[in-house]
Amino acid sequence: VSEGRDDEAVLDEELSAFLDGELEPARAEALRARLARSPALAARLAALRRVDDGLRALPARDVPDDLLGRVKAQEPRGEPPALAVEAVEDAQAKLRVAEVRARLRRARRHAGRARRPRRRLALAVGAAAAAALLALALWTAPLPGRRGPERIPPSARAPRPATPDRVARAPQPPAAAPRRQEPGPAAPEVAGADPLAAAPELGLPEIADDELAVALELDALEDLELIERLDFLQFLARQGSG
Amino acid sequence: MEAQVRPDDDVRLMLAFCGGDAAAFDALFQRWAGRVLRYLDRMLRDPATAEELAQEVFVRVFRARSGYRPEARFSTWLYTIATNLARNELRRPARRHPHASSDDEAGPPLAAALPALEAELDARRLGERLERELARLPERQRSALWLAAVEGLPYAEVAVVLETSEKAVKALVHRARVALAACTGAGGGET
Repeated sequence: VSEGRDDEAVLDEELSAFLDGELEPARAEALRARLARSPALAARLAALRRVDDGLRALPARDVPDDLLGRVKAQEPRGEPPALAVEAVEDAQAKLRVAEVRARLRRARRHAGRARRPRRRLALAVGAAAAAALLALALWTAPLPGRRGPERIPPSARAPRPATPDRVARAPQPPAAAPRRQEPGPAAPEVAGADPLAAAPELGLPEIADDELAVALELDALEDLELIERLDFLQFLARQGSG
Repeated sequence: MEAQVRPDDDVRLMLAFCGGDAAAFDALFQRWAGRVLRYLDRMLRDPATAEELAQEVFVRVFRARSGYRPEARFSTWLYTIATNLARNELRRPARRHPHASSDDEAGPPLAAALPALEAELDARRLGERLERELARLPERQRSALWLAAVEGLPYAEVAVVLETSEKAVKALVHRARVALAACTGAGGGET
């Protein structure tokens, strides 16, 4: 919203969109600030709002009692053939899955917003770890006159420390699932990254539709944390089995 | 490309109706008949015809059970049916009605030329004036304003109903609102 524009001429359309909640957040914020400074503009907004209030207050008559009966009587051959049961079930299943996916998207956006600071921290730690690894590699690299580290056969290596995928396979309550932003030295490909975002890139299938439908039936998806854990555990399990 | 299925309680009811649940149709009628009738009343300003068309809207919903596909929100589909029926009615040559104009680029609204109302106008007089000026608006402005401001449809949905762009809807709603604001005597008109 340009300060140089004339209140009287330019902002009407924005005021109207603002009333309808159709203004982009940044523009709405700018307009709010301007409204706070300009009584004239605020008065214009009030005038437009009064139109909406007046329209909503217009009297509405009742639906005639017999209208529903008249609608049904319009079908001369009785009830038309309904859609095939399979088609209806298919459409209903798609609808359920669409609902769950919409909620998952909201949950992921929510999680992304909530954890941004931690992600930055994780990136910083990851960068430091990478620098340390690079220094170590340079130090151990075979240079003329210097022997490199001895190669150890895989069978002789010490057991690997627990990685997130192995943790996920071990029986434990979901609450024990590792937080995805916490950097883990044993799983650098996962550390610091968002596994929910990484899963499609790795070609992993998303949660199956029937699993989503079951979760929906259980009404478990209200819990945003649980959604994340389910998603994350599934990702890790697939990583482990892949 | 497969049509997108959208979460929508009314779509769920419609699918139940398609699956043979007759009560689901009654539920849809109860939820929407009043709003559809009110919309058609304002579009046509002819109670008998509005009622006739509201009946036709739900007859079409009823008949759609054999071929319905949830490709949009139920409200979008319903208002599209209602709007098309109203538009056809308004364009019938033999019809005498107060809403002959369908020109979005019509001249300045008559409301702008009306004297400003007194500040003490009571709600009834204001309502009567608003209703009269609403009837004078070009058809698409009237429809866009009603659907966005009263029925609360997002511009994207109104754009589908009116078969136009969101940008055009924004302009239509704005013009209509400003014209009616002028008739309330409270300003808000374009300068």
